[in-house]
Amino acid sequence: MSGYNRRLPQHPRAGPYHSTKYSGYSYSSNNSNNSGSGDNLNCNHKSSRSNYHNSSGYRNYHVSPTQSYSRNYVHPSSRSSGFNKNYPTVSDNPSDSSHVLYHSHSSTYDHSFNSYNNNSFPRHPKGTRYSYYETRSQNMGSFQDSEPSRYQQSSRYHVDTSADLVNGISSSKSAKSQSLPTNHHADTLAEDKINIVLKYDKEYFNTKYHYMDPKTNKLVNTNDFHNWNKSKQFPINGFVNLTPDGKLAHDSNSCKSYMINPKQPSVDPREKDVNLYLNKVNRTKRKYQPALAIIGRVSYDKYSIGPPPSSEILVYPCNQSDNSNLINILDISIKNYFKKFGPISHFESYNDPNNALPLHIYLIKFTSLHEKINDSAKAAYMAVKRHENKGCNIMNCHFKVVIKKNQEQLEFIKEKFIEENTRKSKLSALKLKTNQTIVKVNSSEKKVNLPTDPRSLILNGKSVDLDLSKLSFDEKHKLFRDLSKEHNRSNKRMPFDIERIVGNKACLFISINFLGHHGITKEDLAYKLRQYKVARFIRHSTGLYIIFNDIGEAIRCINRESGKMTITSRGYRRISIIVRFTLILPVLIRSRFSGYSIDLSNNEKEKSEEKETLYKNQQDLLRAATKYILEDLKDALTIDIRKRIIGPSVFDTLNPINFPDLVAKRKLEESKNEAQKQSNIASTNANMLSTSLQDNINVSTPGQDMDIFKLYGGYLKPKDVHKRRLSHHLHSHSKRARLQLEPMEHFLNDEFNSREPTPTTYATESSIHDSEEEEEVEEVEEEEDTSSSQEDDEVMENAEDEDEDEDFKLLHNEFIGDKKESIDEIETLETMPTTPEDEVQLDGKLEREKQDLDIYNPTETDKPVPVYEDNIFDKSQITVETLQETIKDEEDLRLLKEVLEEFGVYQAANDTKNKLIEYELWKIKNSINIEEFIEETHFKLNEGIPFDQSLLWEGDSFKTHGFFKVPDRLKSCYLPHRRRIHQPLNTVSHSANIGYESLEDGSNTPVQREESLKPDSTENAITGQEIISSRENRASNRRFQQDIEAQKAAIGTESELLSLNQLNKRRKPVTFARSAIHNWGLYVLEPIAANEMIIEYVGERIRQPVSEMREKRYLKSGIGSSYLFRVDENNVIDATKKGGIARFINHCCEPSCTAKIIKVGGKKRIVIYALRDIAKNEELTYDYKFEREKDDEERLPCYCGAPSCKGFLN
Amino acid sequence: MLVQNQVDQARELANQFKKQGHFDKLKSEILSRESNIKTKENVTVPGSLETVLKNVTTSIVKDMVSKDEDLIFKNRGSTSALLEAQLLKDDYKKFGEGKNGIELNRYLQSCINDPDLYETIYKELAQLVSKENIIVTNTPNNSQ
Repeated sequence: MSGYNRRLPQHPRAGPYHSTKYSGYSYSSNNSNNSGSGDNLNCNHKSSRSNYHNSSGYRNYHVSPTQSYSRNYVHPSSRSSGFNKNYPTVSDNPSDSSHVLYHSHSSTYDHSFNSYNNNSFPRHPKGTRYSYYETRSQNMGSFQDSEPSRYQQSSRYHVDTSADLVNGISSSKSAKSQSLPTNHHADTLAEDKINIVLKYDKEYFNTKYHYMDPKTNKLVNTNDFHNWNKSKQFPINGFVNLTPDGKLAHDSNSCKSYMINPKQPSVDPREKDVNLYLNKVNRTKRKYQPALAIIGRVSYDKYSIGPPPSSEILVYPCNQSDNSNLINILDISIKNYFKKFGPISHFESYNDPNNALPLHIYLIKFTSLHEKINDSAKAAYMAVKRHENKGCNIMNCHFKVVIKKNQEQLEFIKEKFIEENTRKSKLSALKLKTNQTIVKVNSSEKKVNLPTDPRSLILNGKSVDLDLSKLSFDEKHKLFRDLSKEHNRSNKRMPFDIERIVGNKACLFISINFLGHHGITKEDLAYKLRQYKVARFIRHSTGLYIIFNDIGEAIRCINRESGKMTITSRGYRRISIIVRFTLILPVLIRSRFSGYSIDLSNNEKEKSEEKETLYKNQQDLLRAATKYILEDLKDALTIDIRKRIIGPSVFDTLNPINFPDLVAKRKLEESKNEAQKQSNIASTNANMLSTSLQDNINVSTPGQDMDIFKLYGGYLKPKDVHKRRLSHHLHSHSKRARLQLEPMEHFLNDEFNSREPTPTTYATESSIHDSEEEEEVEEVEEEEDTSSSQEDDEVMENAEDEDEDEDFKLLHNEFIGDKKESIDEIETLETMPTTPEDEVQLDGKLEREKQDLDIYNPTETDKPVPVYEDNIFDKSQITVETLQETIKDEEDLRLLKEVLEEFGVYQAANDTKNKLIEYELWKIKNSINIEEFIEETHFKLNEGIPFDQSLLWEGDSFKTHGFFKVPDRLKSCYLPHRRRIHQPLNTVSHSANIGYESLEDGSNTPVQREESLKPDSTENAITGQEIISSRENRASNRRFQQDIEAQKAAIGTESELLSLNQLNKRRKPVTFARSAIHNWGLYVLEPIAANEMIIEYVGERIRQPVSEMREKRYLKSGIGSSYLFRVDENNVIDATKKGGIARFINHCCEPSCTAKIIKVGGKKRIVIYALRDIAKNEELTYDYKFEREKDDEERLPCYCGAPSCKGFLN
Repeated sequence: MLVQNQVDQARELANQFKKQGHFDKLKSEILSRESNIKTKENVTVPGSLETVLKNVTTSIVKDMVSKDEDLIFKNRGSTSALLEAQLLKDDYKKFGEGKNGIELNRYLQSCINDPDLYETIYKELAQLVSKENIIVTNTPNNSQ
């Protein structure tokens, strides 16, 4: 045997014993507690046995050496290589067959049970069967007898030589041989009554071994025994490990000898380990486990055996007595609380069957969306796990949450609570009964001693309806003093600032610290004090003041509630707290009349009402009544005069019918004004008719009354408007007329005119137009009452429409080209009420046409008139071409010949180069033409900028000059985008409209623009849809304008938000294209009037530090252009990566637009507005307004090309 | 039998007087009777108080309109309210302006203080008291 079994004392913290099992001997150090004589079966009672566990299935019981023997119990079913003997325990069923091995390891005589064959032992008289078990022990081989297959009785007693052993034997003798020495008396009986048959009472056995004869109760063969430890080589107590040779194994690691000192108390060797563990010395890898580890939850699946995991939980109060708020708990609160763990499929609460009161036991069944049992079980598990340690606190009530394992568990809990309730109810009933009895006794005894003093009643809070007015001043004073002593010990007074608000009224006070600490609000207290007549709650910096109109009510409230009322704290602990009030009583002042007045702060009205009115007799009464009546009569008369006489009289008098002359006068004035207005409108229209496109681009503001672009509010200062008007007048009328240009506004309206498909439909269209006009007039009449300004606007609209008709007619005449018809039309126009300006315009037109006619008409004069004007040229540079141009007819040629002959040049010329003269002339002319063509083409390509002659290289190739920097000034003459001319910026127009064909015909840029803007151009034809709806657009715009006006009127002020809203409707179509200023530019696709919104600058809204960071990053990544637009100090709009096309708008020192910051919805937005009228295809620019850079190197050059260009952006 | 201890008996009696129509009767009588109101120059203006007031008001308004013609072309309601306020200001001060101005306030005061009127009311009240059989009690009236 190389091991041993140790039985250890139970560690206080440890659970069941886990004795280390080794095959072989059992070792026990438990020898001190089993003192006494007789049957000392060690730990064979049921409970202790259950605590013993051996992995191999048997238990080891040892008797100390002083008690003669020890026993090993082995479970019948166990199969072990050790000593497997079954032994019937005391508590076991006697009928149960067990096997027992008596083994005294300390016996002097026997230590060597080497091998046992399975033989049946003689049966115990009580039915116990004894059997042998074969045990093989190598270590004990030395104790074997020579015969290996000897059988030995298990009931063999090993007699020790010591006295103790003898005692033990003697005691065991009473067991009558094989029987278990459990009961001496029983054994004796067995001896008497049962004839013991010894099965192995044979000679063979008796002679060979030490054997106690059961009959004689003596050991046999004692003489043959010998002490195996004569030399005292082995210790008397303890184990000895021997080598197979029978020698002591001293040097072997596996064999150790243990000396057992019976007097030495046993020590748990693990304690040492525990200490080591706790001190972290020699710590093992395995952690010390104070409790058994819980196996992790295993999900339930199809392979799982047994019932599915429970998805139900039980919630019940921890301790009913502590949960005072339990009554306030609603089922829904519990349900809602546990909803967070998972969906609940079933919720049930149970009531007490005795009184139908809730038991506050809840059954909650969780479910899962997909009916997965694991999910619902997990929800239940989590609900339990969450509240495992700290419990569940719902609304200040403590609950316990457990998994519902079975129905019995629920019933058990329910019964427990029902019992508790029953017990309580019985107890309370008993108490009540007792109290009633006491009260009866007391009432009978103290009936006469009930307090009758009102003051004491009030102080005790019993009297609430006490009329304080009945009390005398001194009584009140005393009462108040006593109340203050009790409820206002700190002598708290009302703050001065609310004293006037409250008045001299009683109030209760709660400090702000208390309220703040517990998070109590005014509403909480209002709810709690709802049964009292509280006048108002005043929250003050010092606390909450609860004002009562009635002092008695305040006293009643404080007596009943102060120190008794509880409110759940909203602080950290959420417990019920007791509220204490401080009573602030009104100041008592002796009243002059009615004795004493408490509330002196009441107003004068109350005082007057209190005034006594005594009437001694009827006369007094009548006089007083008469006085009242007279006073009332005076008031009534005054009211009548005011409301019934003067008011209606004034209103009636103000009727204009009463003043016919004034009305007539006003009408006359109005008619005059209208006439004046008409004339002004007419003159304005005439001016507009004669406005050229060029002027329109720069200055397109028409007459003051006809500024349709001002309808939505002007943004330009009147000064600027005036300037434009001045410039407008500077331009000659004839020039505009000659160029056949019109104001831009009319181009907008020309859409309507171009609706005309053929000239023949003019009349009908006009009639339609007139009818519409009439409708509008009707509208105007209807809206006359609204406002005079609106009326004016309508008038202007009408006038505009009239002008449109006239324009239409004129254009119509021009297009059909029939002069006669045109004149007729003009005549018809003259019949119409037109203004002198119109006539001037028409006269000018006629004159021009007449001039054209006169050129070709034959003239009859007295003197010869030169048909051709003198073409004077520089005589120093006479070329063939100039000569050819100058000589118009035969006469000129004849005169030239004469001159040449006179100088003798003519003949010489004829002689020398007669044959090649024509060719030479052709050659010269051809080269001149080519040069002109090149120059013109270049001129057109560069939009009127001549090619700089310095860039032409005469003679050698320019390549021979190597590389050199061409100045920007020269670049502009051959690079269109470097062109420095400012007006007009018409890049898109050029690229779109000017092709090679247009270049061929030699037409210049203004003409091209003019052509593109002609009303019958294809562009307008394409946009026919818009043309048709132009009138409707105007109508809708007008309505929209009215809405805006209404909004403005409602708001009261003109906000920019409104302006943005209305202008959003008129967002302008824009596009981007290569710009002459810098890279890309933004161009408008339709004419835009001044002050109109064009586009919003859209981009990422970032903060200033971010913008700085981004700027650096952009520069690093090579993005040279800056698209960062600062909104204010903190915000920047970055359109570099994300943004609208407004970012393409370039800077210009003379900008066409301006950027405005407009707040929309609390956010600042950048909106680009037109500063002036902008022509179609014109590039949009605004002033970047960069800060001036001091460092010249960092200054950015400006290429805007404006006349007043500063040269730098910053 | 009325036993009135809680409210002012005189006030109650006055209310009773009003309820029976005597009050309105008196008022309409004052307005409709020949006023004999005199101007500052001690010229008696014929007609009842109502007529006189209407005439005076009309003349004053016309005078105002003559000064500012726009008054009739503006919103009549608001303009009349403004003019009315002008007339009522400072105890009908506007009525007293000019040669033909009348002291309306003084006239009203004289009407109220008229002993005949007092006597009339007194008698009416006495009749009322006797009719209703009101007993005068000497208990102090306290509305509280």
